[in-house]
Amino acid sequence: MNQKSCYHPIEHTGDLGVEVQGGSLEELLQNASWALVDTIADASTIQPKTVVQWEFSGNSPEEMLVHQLEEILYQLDAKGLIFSSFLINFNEDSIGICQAKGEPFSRESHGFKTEIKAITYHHLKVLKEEGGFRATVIFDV
Amino acid sequence: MNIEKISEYEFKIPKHGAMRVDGIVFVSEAMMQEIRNDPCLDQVVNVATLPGIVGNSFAMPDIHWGYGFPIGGVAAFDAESGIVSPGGVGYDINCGVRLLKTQLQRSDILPHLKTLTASLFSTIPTGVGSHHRGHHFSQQDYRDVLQQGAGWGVKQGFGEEEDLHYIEEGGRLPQADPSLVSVRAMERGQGQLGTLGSGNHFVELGYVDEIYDEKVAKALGLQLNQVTVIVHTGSRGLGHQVCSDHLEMMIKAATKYKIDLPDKQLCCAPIQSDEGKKYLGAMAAAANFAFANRQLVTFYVRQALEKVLGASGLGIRVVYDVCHNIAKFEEHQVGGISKRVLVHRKGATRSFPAKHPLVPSSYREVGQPVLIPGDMGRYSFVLVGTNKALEQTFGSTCHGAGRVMSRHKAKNSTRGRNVEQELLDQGIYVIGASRATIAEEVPWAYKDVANVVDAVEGAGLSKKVVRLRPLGVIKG
Repeated sequence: MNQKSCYHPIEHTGDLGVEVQGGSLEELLQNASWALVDTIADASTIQPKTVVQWEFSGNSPEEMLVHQLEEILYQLDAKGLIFSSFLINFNEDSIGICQAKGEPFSRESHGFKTEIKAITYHHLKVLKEEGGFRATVIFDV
Repeated sequence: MNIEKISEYEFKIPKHGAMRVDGIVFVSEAMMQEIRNDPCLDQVVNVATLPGIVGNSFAMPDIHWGYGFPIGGVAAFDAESGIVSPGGVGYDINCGVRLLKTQLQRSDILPHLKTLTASLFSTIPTGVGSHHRGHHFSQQDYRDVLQQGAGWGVKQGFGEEEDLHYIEEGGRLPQADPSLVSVRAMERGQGQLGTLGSGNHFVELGYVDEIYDEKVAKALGLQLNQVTVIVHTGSRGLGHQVCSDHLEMMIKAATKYKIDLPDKQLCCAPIQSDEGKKYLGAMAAAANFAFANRQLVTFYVRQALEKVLGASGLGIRVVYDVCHNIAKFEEHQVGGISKRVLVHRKGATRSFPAKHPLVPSSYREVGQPVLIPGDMGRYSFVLVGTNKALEQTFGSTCHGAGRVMSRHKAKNSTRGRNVEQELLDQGIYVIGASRATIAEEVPWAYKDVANVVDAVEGAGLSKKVVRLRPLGVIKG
C-alpha cells in the first residue's frame, strides 16, 4: 500500500479530517503522520534532507496519535521543518520514538495547501481490526 | 428534541435531563429548519449542563458544530462557583476582527487596486509557517507581548496611542500570566507575531457601500464610498498550543472535580481551582498575543498602502477591534443583581450598548461597534451593540457567516473554473498564499452573512450601521 492510498479525507463542514489505516500501530501512526503532512502541503515534494528524532507517549492509542501529530505541528511552527518520512518504534516502556526525515518548509516548493491549527479529540478513534488498525482524526483548520 | 418558538428569531430548548438552564437559539424559522437535526443543538444542551452556568446556554444565528461548545455559543458562569472550559473559547484564542478606516474614497484606489493588493500580500506574511520578515523580537519582547498586548506594539512604534482606545478591553487582558504559557507554545508563536496565518484569515481592502444608520455611521467616522480595511487573524501557533496544552489538563481536572461531561471536549475546571486559574492566565496571555498580532498587521497595512499611495492623506485609523473567541470576566445583571461572571464567547462578539462604560467615549452615545465579516465575494457588516443584548445574552451577538460547504466540496466545486478571474470580473482582486486556499474559501462555501446579520437585528441583539464591499483581498 503506498502512503497516498493509506488514508482518505473525511468530509467535514468546518474542518478537515482523515481516516487512516496501518498494518500495525506503528504503521498506523506513520501513515497518519504522512496524512497530516499531505493535508498541509504536497508531501511527495518533501525531500528527506534532515533527520529529527522525538519521543511521544500517551495513555491510549488515541492519545499517542494526538501527541505524535501535535509534534509535527510543533516542528513546523517552531522549527520551520516539514517531513515526509516517519519511522516509529516503541521501546520497552511503551514510549514511541519517531525518526522523521524532511527539510525546511518552503511555501513555493512544497505545494502549500492549508494550515492546521490543532489535532482534536472529536470523533477520535483508533480501532484494532483484522489485519491491522484504523483511525479517524479531525484537524482544526 | 423539544424546541419552542418564542418569537420570530428566538427558540427555546426547555431545561430537561441534566440541563441546569434553558437553551436559547437566535435563528429564523428557515435557519431552524436547517439545523433542527444538527448536532450543534445537542451542544447547546450539553453546555447547559455545566456547573455554575447562569442565565441560559445561548446560540447565535451563525451557530454550527464546534468542539465541545458550538461555534456561535455564548455561556456565562458564576465567577465563584462556575467553571472555565477551553472548548468554550476554541483553539484560536482571541481570533478576532479589526476594522480600519481611511480618508480615501473608492475612486482614489480603483486605478491602483492590483498594486495595493499585491503590496498588502508582499508586506504581510501569510500562509502556513509564515514568519515575519524584517522584524526580530527577543524572548523578553515575547514575554512583554503576552503581558501588554496591543499596547506593547504601540510602545514599540507599531501604531498610535489612539489605536488602543478602539480595541476591546484596550487590547490587553490584565490577568495574563506569561509564566503559564508553555515553552512549546512560546516556540510555536515565535516568529509568528505580525503574521496572518491561513484558513479563513484575511486582510480585505474594501469600501462602505451602504449605510443603514446615518447618525451612528457618522459617529463611527464612516461614510459612503470610504475605503476601509478589515484584518481577521488571531493568536497563531501560540494560542493553538495553549488550548491543546490545557485541554489535556482539563480532561484530568474534570475527573478530579467530579464534573460530569456529556462530551470530552467540554472538559473544564472550576474557575477558582488551580487548573482553572492556570488556563485563564495562559489564555489571557494568548489573547494579548492576538491583540498585538492585529496591531502589527495594522502597522504592515499602513506600510503597504503608503508604499503605493505615499504617506500623506491616508489617515488610517482604527474603527474598532473585537474578539470572536474569548472568555472574559464581566459584570452583568443576573436576576436584578450585579454579578461577576466569566462570559465564554466562542464564535461570538461582544455587543455592548450606548452608555456602557466599556464603550469608547467617542462611541458612548451610539454603542460598541460589532464587526461581522462575510465571505470574500459578497460583503461584511458593521453593527452596534444594544441594551437587549446586554440584558439577554450577556452583551453578545453573532460573529460571521459560517461555512455551508466542506473544504473538499468547495475545492471540487472550483474544478474547471477560474475563481480569481470570476472575482475580478466582479471587481474583486484576490491573492492567496495558494490556489487551494482560494478554492476552499470561495464565496459559495459560506452562508450569506446578510441573513445572519438580519437575524441578530431581528432578535434585537445588535443594530446594522453600514455594509462593506470587498475590493482587494489577501488570504493566508
